[in-house]
Amino acid sequence: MRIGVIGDGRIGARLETVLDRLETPPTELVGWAPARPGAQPPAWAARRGVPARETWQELVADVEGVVLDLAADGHWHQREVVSEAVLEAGKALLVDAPLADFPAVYERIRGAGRRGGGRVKSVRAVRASAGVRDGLATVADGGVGEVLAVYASLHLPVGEAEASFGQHVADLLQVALDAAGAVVPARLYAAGTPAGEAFEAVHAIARMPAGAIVTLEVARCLPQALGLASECTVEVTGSAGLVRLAPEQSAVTVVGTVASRPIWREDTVAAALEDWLSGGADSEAEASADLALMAAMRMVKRSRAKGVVVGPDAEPVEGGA
Amino acid sequence: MRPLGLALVGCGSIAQSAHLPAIRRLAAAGQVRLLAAMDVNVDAAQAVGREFGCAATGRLDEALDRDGVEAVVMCTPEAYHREGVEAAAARRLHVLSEKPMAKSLADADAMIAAARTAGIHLMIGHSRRFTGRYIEMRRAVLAGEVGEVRMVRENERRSRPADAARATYWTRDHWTGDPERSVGAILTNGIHEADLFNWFIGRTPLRVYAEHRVTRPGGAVPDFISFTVSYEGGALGASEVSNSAPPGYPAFHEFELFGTRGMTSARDHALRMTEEYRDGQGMRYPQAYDHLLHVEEAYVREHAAFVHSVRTGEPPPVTAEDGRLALAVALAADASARSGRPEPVDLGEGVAQ
Repeated sequence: MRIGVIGDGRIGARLETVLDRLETPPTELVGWAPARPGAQPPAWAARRGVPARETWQELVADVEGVVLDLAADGHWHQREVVSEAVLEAGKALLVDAPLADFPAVYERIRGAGRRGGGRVKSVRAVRASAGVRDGLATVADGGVGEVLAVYASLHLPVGEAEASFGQHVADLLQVALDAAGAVVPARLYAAGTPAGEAFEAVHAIARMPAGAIVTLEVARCLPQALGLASECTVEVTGSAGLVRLAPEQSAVTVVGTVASRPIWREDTVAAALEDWLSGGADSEAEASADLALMAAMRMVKRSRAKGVVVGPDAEPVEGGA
Repeated sequence: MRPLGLALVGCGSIAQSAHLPAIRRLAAAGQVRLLAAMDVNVDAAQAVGREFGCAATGRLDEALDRDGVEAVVMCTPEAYHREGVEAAAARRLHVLSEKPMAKSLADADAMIAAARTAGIHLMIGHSRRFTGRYIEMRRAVLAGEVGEVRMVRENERRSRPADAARATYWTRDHWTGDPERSVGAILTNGIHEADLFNWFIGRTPLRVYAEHRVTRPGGAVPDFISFTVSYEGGALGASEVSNSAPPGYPAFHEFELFGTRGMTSARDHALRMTEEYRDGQGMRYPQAYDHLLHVEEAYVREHAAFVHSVRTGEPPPVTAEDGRLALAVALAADASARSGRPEPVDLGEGVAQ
């Protein structure tokens, strides 16, 4: 497959590793293009000698697949325009989940894919890890009974990930929402330290329609000296058991008896790339879950900005426990 | 110096597991002497009386009026703290009160007023300030080793009762689950986190948001709460307190403090200390409750600090104003969980920061 990369986010750098170890099917990286006018090629592209194109449209016309590597923060419109064009042209698209930040735009992009024949695979960095997948499967199978609460935290190094902080929030929200039934929260409140500083933290608490309480914490808070890329913890407390996934131990499931699960530590972005290159695409269930994710992301953003509790439409709501 | 004469008011679980062991240690060192034990369950008081050779009674006034009593260790549920402190203050007896300081800010303010008027020391037993880990963390923060504190989080996990002694917890048959006497997990457990946030962040708490729920079937009091506190200057405190883990799950507190230049963290254990693997049964955690940071050494330090304060006249290391501020944060969390909106922290008047 002839592929190209648009943008300079977190996916492209992984592409080198994947391409080096991938022998079949044959893949050719034919070019890189800026998502925004004037953007310079990332270091990995220059190092690998990947030719830079003037415009992303030029690159899309020349490839079978596009890695859209553009952090969502502040670039939603550009991401959506490129995604729609790629899928309308019948090309394969790899992009961070979710595809859009509004359901109507999301449906429009999916419609372009149905018309043009393009397939889309979304990167779900935390959700795709083996431990999380297994843990959430236990929850979905009723293994912990009724879900009472979900706690999820993702800690990143101070000063890093500034451009993609919102994407990390989305990564973790996917997991938390899936654990709580992949539906839109009934209400949500998000507090945060001042946005845009080297140290940044968001702490959100949501009540789900069925009563589960979801707590979410995403922070650029780990000292650089620790040398950690991230630390992720997920706990799902149910009426009949508990699933805990944590960095310092094997994930633990407690359902009367206890079973160990693999630790969360693999490179799921690279895994998504490999799957996409092999023809993988989002399932209908994943696409459906993205709708709840989009709504929740807007709730977090709006609540944090306004300092108020918001409802499913991200509009402020008044009390009523 | 002769031992400080104590009266113990309330001989229930926290007295048995925490305060009496500390009193035994300090009594052996000649620092205190238990002269009276009081509990509405007279059998419980008498059991203490037999061990310590002290008076045992079901009446508060009888315990406080015992000859030689100079100070009171208050181990009753918070709903009864005001009554006990006011009675002690009327007799000019110093008080070490279990946390939370009270069930309401009105009660807390009345207790502070009574203590000031009587000129007694009123210390609130926020025991975690006396555990080795937090002492060391606090030292690191004060030394500037982590920079400015930006976020503190402590999650607290306790299991549903696995043993007969705790079977009634969070039911109407135990004070923790009685709406008349208990606000819920925020005061029973979360008050610790509220105090730790105030202590470590060192700025004024402004507002709190919380969600809580009843998880115990048939329960009437929220035994689960998640809350976040916004502080002056932008720092955050956050906590999720659960009493809903499966029976036998290891109780733990997971504390993380993040600053602009570093972090510090601690947990009771790594979920490994007591695990057992059995064929066909997977893994289990026997007697995990014993490994909480609810350690005897912390309560010995707490009592010793109280005795030192009484003897020297120095302010106690955890003042009544500290206790009120923690209570204000916790009650704002409770109010938020009930109203569904962020609630301001009632700082009152003259609260020491």
